[in-house]
Amino acid sequence: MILVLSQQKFEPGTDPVLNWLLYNRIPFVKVTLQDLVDQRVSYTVDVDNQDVFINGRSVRNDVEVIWHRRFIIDLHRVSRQIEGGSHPQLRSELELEIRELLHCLSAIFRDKTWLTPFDRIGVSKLTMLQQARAHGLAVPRSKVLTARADVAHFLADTPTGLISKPLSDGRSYYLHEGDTYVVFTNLITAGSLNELPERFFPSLFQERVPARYELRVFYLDGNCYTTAILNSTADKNVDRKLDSTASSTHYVPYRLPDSVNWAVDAFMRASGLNTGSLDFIRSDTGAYVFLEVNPVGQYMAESEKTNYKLDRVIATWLQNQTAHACS
Amino acid sequence: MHVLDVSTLFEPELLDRLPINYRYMTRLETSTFGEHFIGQRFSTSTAHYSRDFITQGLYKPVSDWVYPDFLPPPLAPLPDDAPDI
Repeated sequence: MILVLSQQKFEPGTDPVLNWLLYNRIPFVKVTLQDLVDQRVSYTVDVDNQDVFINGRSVRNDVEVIWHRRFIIDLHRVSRQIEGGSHPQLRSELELEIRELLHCLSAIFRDKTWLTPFDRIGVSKLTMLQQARAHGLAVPRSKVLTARADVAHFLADTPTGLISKPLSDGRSYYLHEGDTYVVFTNLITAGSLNELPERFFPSLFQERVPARYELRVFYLDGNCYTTAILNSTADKNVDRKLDSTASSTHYVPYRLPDSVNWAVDAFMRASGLNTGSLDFIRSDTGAYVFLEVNPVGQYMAESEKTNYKLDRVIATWLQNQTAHACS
Repeated sequence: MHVLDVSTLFEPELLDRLPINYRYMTRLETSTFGEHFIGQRFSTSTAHYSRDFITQGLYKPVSDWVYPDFLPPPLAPLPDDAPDI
């Protein structure tokens, strides 16, 4: 059986794969963080014997493959629902309790086949840059800075200019019945430099890489499914997400050079990742510049537009792993 | 996606203590901001163990039940000296 760990709501990368599992009659069960804590199902974690019982039945041997998609991402929402705003300290304590439970469960199921190992779900953007460089991929020069003078120095030293983006994942503020505020990648200019305070919270700055086009690589167990994102306008945004729906943006299947494919494979294996979505820029000079990898990135937009059918590819991979487990 | 402007949610006193990205937040019309901007509709599905099931809108006006069966395997990489697209 396949155990699917994912979000309860609005996870567009999970349901299309489950469609294929249903169509092919492959047994699976989807579990969310909410399921573990909301008392709808009683279960026992037998720490002494390293087993999990649901309604008195051991499930440890039933599970062969674990698809670990966006699961922990619900942690804050789940703890906030329980805590209900009654005490801010309580929320952080509940989150610690849930994390401890998850670590215990991951240890019990450690010998299963994981699609994204439990401890590789939240990789560090900066560590991944180092890792990518070590495996032969070009990466932009990057610095974490805290002073305006240092930004000015870095800008002066970088002819193509600078961009800034969050050190960790992107972030959005959805205001009820209002506007949405999103932190995208921003271009740092001499003008914006003057708006910065003398000292500020540690922030990531990177060399701007002038792009011919951007690439999105979906990696699964040694295979790269690459999409080129072409934009025919001269005034495209520095963050391609802002141009996603523009009529001038086109998504086409793309073949990476062998050398880049091999470097991606070596990098992903060294990073302990068997799947992920990687962003590259094909630069003005022809270099393939690695930007970042998201182990649980979204892939359906590119998949639909290039006919890669990645939902089916993932479902087939999961199905094949259960076959291996049975043999 | 309808971009309204680049602004911030936060007061100047707080901004001075935040990463600089919070100074340059893109303000969008919420109804135009979807996950990777593929059309979506919502329902529930017991079969998927999901209370809020997302259905992808088809990008091309052809039957989803037919064309996946005719997809070739992933393309083999081209040599390094292959012409650029």
